Amino acid sequence: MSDRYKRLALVALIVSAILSPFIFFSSDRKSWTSSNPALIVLQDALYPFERAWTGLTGGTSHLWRRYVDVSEAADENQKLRSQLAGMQSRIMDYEEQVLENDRLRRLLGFKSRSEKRLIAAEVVGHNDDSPFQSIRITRGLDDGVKPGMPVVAADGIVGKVIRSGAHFADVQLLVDSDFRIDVLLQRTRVRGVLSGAERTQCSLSLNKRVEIRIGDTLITSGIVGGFPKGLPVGRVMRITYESDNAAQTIAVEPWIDHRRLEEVMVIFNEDKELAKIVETAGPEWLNQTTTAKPEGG
Amino acid sequence: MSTRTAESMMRLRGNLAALGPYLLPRPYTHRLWLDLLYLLVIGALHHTVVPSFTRHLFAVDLMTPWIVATFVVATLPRAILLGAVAALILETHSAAPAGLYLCAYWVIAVVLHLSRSTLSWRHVFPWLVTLAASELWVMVFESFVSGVNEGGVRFDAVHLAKQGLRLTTSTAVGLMMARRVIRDEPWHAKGER
Repeated sequence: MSDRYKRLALVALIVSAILSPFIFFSSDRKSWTSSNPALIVLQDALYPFERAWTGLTGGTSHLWRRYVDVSEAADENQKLRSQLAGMQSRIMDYEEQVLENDRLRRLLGFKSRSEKRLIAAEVVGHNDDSPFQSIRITRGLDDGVKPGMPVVAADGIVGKVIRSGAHFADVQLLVDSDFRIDVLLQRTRVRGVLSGAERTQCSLSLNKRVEIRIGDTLITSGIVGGFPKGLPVGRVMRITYESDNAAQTIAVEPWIDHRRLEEVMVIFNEDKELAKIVETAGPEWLNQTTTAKPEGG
Repeated sequence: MSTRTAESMMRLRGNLAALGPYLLPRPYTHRLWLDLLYLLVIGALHHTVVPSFTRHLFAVDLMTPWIVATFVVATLPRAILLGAVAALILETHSAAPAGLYLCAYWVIAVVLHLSRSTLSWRHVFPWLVTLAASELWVMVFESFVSGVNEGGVRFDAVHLAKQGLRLTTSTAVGLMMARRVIRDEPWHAKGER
């Protein structure tokens, strides 16, 4: 190669290195989706290793826990027997309330939450020590799990599927800095958009006049994002008043501790309204909503 | 011990010695398939084994030191290919925006390509500075992007301590990788660079 071409190549390299951050920031900064075959190969290549490691560590810790638990089991058994008697009467009461609730829901024409199709998945990988937080679960396209589907656990919401492989899916966590969800304050029914922040917390910005207390519970509004209405999201930990004297920033602690998650449920979003939008706007719209940011966010 | 057993033992030892170089991975082996395989192994360790040992309290970045060591010794086309694969392994395994690590590694690759002939890679100090500076660049870039998403960069003591730990551990891991490169590369024997 002549000196001239070498110099040109050198200049091109330097220019590309300088421009690359600008090109990156001018893009929409969405996560990769699974549409590219090369990406699918890369994702799938790591999956068997993760699965094996989770099996190994899970098996070892399970054995250890069982060994420790046996020594405590006798005492606990005694305590549980007495609790059981009390609980049985409460269960009967609870069952009665569920039936009543179901009847009322049907009367009001609401769709029961239990009618949504759910699928259980095991968590095989955590990526929560980087600023971009996700988990990997053992259900993928073969099980019908697609990007955009909500993921929940027994205590509340976990996040949303952002990528699906054949046998696994990546879930963007509620605390990820790019996650947004529409929520309601359970006590006052005020709506707001909750966003992930600081790895273990979320934040919510509301007008200063909105009445809010430490310990208030936030629930899903069910308006956008495919999450059913009323799922617990988190509780108010701290309230900070902004210097503009117009807004208050609320730090929210999620009910879910994502570091301890072992099993989650994926909700098959069979929202007819959403299906209509996807049909009109195309499947790309769903990918956009998984990382959509509010205006000015 | 019979002659037959002794022969079998000798053969086994020979096979293990032949397998040795493959069992101890090193950045840039001059064989593309092996380099890609090692990248996948590093990616798997980075995402599964290491976090379970650190109990998710702080991050240890294995990928950046590995790819920096590769950039120092590999030809530019090979370095670009391996850097792109490494970046995609990180990006397809997290909620990181597409192109974040591609961009960060591309800048490192270009800077190292332009500066590597002026440094003496037989010594530890240039490795130390390069590894620490590269890790710092990746951390700053990540923090900036997450800051843009969150609406502000974090500067609290816990976060800074975690970042400091990440910088220290990743540089230390990188120096261990670099020792193998220093030992194996031809400049050691020929006294080059």
